Amino acid sequence: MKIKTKNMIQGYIFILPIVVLLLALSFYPLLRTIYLSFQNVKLSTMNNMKFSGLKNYKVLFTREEPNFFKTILPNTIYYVVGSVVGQISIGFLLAFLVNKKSIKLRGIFRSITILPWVVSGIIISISWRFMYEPRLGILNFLLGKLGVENLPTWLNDPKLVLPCLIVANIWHGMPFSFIIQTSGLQSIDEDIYEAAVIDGASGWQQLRYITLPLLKQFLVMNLVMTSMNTINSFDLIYATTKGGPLYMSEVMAVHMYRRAFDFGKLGEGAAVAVVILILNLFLTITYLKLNREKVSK
Amino acid sequence: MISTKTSKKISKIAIYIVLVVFAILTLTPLYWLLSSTFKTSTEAIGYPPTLFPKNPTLQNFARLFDARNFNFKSFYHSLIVSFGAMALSCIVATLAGYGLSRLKFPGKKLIMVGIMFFQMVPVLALIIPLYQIFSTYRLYNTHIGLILIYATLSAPMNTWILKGYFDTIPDAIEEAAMIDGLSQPQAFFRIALPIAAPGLSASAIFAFFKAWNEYIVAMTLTSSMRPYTVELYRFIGEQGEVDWSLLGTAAFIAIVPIFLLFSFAQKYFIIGLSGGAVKS
Amino acid sequence: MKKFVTAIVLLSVLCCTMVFAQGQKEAETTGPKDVTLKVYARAYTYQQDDPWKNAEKKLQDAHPELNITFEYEGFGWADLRTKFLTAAAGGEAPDVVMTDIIWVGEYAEGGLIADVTEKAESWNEWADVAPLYKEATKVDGRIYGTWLNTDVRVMAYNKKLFKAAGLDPETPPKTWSELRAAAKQISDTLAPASYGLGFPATLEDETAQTFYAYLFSLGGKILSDDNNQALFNSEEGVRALSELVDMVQIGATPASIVAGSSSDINNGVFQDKFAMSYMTKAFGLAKDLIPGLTAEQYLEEFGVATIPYADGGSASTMSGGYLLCVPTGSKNQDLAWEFIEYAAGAESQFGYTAARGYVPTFTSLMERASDYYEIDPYFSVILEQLNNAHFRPSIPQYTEIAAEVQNAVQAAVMGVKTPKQALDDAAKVVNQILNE
Repeated sequence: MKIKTKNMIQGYIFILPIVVLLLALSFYPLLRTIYLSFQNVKLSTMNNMKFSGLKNYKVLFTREEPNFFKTILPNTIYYVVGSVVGQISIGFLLAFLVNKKSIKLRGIFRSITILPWVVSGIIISISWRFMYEPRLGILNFLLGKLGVENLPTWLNDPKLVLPCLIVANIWHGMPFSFIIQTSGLQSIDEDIYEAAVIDGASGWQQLRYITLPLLKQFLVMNLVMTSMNTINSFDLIYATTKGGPLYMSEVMAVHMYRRAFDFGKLGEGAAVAVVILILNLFLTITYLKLNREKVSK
Repeated sequence: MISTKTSKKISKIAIYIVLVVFAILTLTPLYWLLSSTFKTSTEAIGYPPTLFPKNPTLQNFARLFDARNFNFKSFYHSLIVSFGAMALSCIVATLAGYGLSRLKFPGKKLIMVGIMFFQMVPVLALIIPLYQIFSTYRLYNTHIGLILIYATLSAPMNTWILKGYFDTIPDAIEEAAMIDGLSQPQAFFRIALPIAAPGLSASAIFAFFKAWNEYIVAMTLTSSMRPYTVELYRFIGEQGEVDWSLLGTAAFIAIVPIFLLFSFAQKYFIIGLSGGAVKS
Repeated sequence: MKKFVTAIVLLSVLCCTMVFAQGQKEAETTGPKDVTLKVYARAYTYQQDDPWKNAEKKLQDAHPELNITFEYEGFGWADLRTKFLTAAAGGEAPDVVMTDIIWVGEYAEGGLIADVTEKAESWNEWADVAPLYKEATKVDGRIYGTWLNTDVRVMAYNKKLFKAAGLDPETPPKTWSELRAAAKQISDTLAPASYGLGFPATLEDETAQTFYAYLFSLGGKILSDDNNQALFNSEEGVRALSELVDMVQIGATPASIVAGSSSDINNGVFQDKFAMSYMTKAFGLAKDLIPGLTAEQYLEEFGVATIPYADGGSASTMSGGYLLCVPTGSKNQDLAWEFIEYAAGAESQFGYTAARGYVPTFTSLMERASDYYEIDPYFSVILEQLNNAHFRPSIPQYTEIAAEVQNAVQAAVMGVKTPKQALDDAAKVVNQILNE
């Protein structure tokens, strides 16, 4: 075909800008970080590195409190699964509803839905932290007025802290899913729906047999992107609970930040970063596999 | 049996209710923050927390304008950096997405995976090496520096989004257009791009907000050119005490223009440019 | 097609040029007599004339041969350290850095701040610095900076709540047993609206500070003198932590103190939620919360006293604060130190501490308690505490150690571990850290 057999040079030129950016600002720093993960190095003594092999990784996996396998990894999985499921389902639901032609004021709804994104993460964290405050916060204040006794202590409670954070994270990240699903929904040709209606398909059937399959690639992309964003983000949790109480909200990204910056142990932080990267790689490979299956269908 | 018309009406009302409930849930956490804008600082940290300011006041705006309290130029920096990152990221991603979708060349698969790989890197891990790079190449504390790094952070994902859109366009359409006399760039701009428009608008929004909300890179890599996210931190004190009234006011000033901007822009982005091209 | 390719190539070239163009501009050289001093400090230090504005004038006047430009950057607490460490590692250290006393060990160990022993000892105001505070500026016997301000913890109490619970508002508890009785009585009478004592059990250093104050009052120590071993899990430590845990168990303190922030707990005293709490700034906080509060009203409604000490023990409190240091990466070290002499001199320190309600470190200022009356009617009580003040170990590993202590307190208060278990677990990790 004429278009597909254009010469290679053109192809390389098209991808040149992104490759240059990534090599300079992503790849090279990443190499440095991986290198740092094998060093015994502190933030305050960066010129004084000592090669330490796998020590940083060993320390990470054998630390007792917080224990990687008993605490950090389960917390991370719980947090990611909860956030992703919540963000995508709510994002999709809202995108679907707002996208219906019959809804007026959809512009306003869309704008409102974007709002959680317009404020930076740190501010969100502090707002939510204050709302959840058991003595001073608005949440318990309202619950108290409704006559609830034994007000839960939300972020103080080791069992409730992750769900509370997940709710805040869903609120904060939902606009992303909303936008992706909206553009996905908009890419579906109206004619297909019209044909289906003529054939007598009900609303639910349209959703199941037309919308969802055509959206599959967007949903999968949404799934992977949101998972990676959640795994990599630390500022919501860090600014709210710093990983507490008793490490119950310490996820991998928070752990990385604490080791690297709070305690200045750059080598250890770099090791955590590499582990996060491997986890993300695992997710990406899963995504590619899912996508390949889709294509072969 | 309810008639189809009535059941349609009921479902319409139900949908509206759901949307309104979600709108309220979405607005509530922000409401608390923004309501502090009009409260006196005493009331803002007071107990019991009040939903409506008892004595609404505009004095916080005046307090904020006192340069010692807040540097308004930070909004300017945020806007420049965010729009710049948006433009750069979209250009780069459109090119790469189109290239990966349309063109065959060796190593394409590897490059696709490679690009995706970099979206996975937690930026926090790169901060220290980035600081050293920025320092060496005099990118520290510049708009360009931040624009480059923010574009890099959002470009891979945007590439994937756009590639997905370009993939849905059969070659036949562009070829038909070229047979009809359009050159390839014209085919690209008039046929392919409009179809990919929802993806482009989504990419633009992502790139913009990724830059707008970002904190840690901004804090580390700037000094006098700080974006507003860093500037807001001065309202958070030593022992976690927060000056809610000033923080709320600054956040209010950050949110409202962007919100209005988005409200106007989305008419052109999402609704205006979508669909259409495939039919014709 | 060729046009298209050319366009892309041009675009890439343009981008690259832009990158370097920006760089070129900044390489312009400055004149021989121009000097720039960069300062990293907490953002709130810029809200009044001291310490910087007045010091600027003095420095410029002392050097008519120079044209000095001052560049300031303001930060929140954690960022002040993170940014400094990153900047120093990247070769862009400032000329003056405001350093929390607990970071001095880390900075000194990394060779990031200059040894100013000779400079300090030849400074005419150095002799005026209180001896305890002179010592605290030293790491391994060498001086690394001078104090901008210090702070000290006292107990603030709410006289209204005392009266409401039937206690004498003029005799606050002095010892732990008195504290227990008073706090329990208040909680029994007034809970859940108000509790007797509030203290933080969050992941902040204030949590550890409360524990340390109790520990020292029993004669315990945080670490051994050579900083090689944890001593906070001694018998004294267990007693100290148990005392805190008991306050929660007998209901004198609510269990919700494990989250939120210590500042909310401190606010609670002035919002009638806690009858007593430990804090650094009392009057300033009260004024923020109660509009139009006068000194007279304040004296009537609230009181300030020494933190209760163990029965048979001695009064103890913890002291913190900031030093001004010169980074080794600075190209103007002598000039920077001179600037610091003005900014942290007695006159400047008085202006600064008076404006913000902090505590001075110069003996001459400590003798002027009456001048601080407007800042805090109880300032003389606050100054008295300086005699009982202890410092945290100023070693590089302090942040890690503190995290273990904070966790131990949290675990004990939540009842997940016994005080002894919590402290022993923490000590085990701390010893590992110290002997790495």
